[in-house]
Amino acid sequence: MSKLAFAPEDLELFSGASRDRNPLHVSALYAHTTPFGEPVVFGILAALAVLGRTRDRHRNSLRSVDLEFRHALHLGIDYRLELDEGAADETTARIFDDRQLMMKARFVFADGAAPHKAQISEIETRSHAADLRPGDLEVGQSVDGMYGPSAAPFKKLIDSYRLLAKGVTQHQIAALLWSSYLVGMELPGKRALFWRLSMEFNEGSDECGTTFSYDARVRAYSERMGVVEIEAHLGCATNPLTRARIRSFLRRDPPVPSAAAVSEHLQPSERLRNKVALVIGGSRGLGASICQALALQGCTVLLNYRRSDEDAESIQSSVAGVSGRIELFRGDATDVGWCERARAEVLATAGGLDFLICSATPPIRPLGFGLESVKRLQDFVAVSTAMVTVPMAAFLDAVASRAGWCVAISSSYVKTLEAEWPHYIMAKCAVEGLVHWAAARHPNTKFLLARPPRLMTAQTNTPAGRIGAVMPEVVAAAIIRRMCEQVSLDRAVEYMDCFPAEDDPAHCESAVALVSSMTGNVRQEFAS
Amino acid sequence: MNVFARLEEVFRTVFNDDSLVITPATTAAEIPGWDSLEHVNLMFSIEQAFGIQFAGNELAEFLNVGELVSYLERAGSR
Repeated sequence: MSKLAFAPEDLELFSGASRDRNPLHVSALYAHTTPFGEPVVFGILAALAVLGRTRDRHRNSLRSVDLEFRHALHLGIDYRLELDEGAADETTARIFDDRQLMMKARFVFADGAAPHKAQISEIETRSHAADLRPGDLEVGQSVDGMYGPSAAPFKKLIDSYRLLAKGVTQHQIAALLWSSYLVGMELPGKRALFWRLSMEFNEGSDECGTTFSYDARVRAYSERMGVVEIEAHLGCATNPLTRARIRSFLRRDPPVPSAAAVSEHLQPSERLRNKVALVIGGSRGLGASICQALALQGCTVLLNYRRSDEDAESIQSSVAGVSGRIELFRGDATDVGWCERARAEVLATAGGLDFLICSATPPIRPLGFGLESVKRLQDFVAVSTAMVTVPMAAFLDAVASRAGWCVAISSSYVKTLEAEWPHYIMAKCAVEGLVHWAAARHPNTKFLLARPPRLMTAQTNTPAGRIGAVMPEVVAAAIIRRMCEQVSLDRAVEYMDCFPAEDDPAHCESAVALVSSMTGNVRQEFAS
Repeated sequence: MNVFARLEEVFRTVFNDDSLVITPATTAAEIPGWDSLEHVNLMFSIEQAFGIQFAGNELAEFLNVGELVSYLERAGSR
């Protein structure tokens, strides 16, 4: 058993060698807008790193490769590599993050030494990833061209993992790099998530060297599931010497919070006129929809966000012309100093605060529970709870003085206890505990804990993550509708577990039952 | 080969288990490895094997294998 980790330099080297410049791997700005939150490791890079850890095979040559990328690999994490090299002609490998299987690999070899030398010639390739969208793909669609890796980084990559001692040729390594290039840059390109690769090398494929022609054709495509299956041939002249079958996901556009969609579920009114709300984490996902819902009811909304001016401005402009308004309030809500200054500003300019809504969350990724991951669990809980505790510490007295509402967004996962979310569940339970404590000390303040199911947001925007996800506009409308009702609460803390589009609790129960029954342990999973 | 037998073949391929036996009452919880990624894999493979396209939120709406078989039989008769 050994550890495997990746650094930003590894991504740079691989990107340079393969010519795969997909922004999910090389642009922090772009990756932040995806469910992954930061650049993820190229799947083929991980496969080469695995190959580099296998035993030397000076009298073997690679005949086939099967790879499955089950979850995205992230930088700076010590993954566990398990190798099985018991068979003479085969090596299987599995990469784990604690107990979670991240990637599987199988390399099959034949007798006979692999030739080491190959001519490397530079080929012009695409510099920006194609951006095929779901409607752009169809069965039979094809691309073809010439491919060759970039000579200097290619050689450095080979040397850094001692790949030529592992029974592989430069042609085979180049072919693996090509698969990354094809998926990330050509077909489908920018929105791709590499899922599976099966590659077979015929006798004599080494004759092609590292520069070869390819043709790739969409063999199967499901727009609904966003799955693309590609069949490809690589060769020199007219000889198809390497065959590949590739499966990838095609990510859809992240959902854009829609004020119009909110108003379909919550009639615009002036019921919250002269009220002031602070929404922590208001630029994206449920927080953004809550801002829109409040503004649609006449409220003045202070939209707190940390990073994306563009997202925040978009939410602000989406409610232009409605009875309420949104003011932008950029800052780090986990920063005590910022919250202190923000409180002074709110009290001075708005005169007080009626609603505090805590909806921020750090990037959420599945996580195991064990000694290898417990530090990450602790770090997640610390950041996640700080996004509620610090704003509550700063603003709760102000809300209490107006007998207002303190709303914290929890999750249905605290009840369903999904296997790979111990960090998320722990953080949400901690928040719920604090809300109960606060409710005991502020009897005039209304406390609401919302436990929505998995929502369709940028964070869950993966083919598996979308299954059964609920639109945030529906949940936001239900929360604000409840806050508009002028009825007294019969409990110190009110829970919201059901978020029907209309007032139909039966619909809510059946939807949850069906989703959890068929998809079982639904979770956010990704390929890299 | 009837729908059920064809579906069992798809299950065996997807879950890489030649001895896998399914029944109408089989649910995700009873098959090792049936997580959300394999769910997508399974549904994609079913689409290819039966020449259909799931629509709407059908991917999450089958309670068990029996409901899936009923759906495929209806789809086949359309």
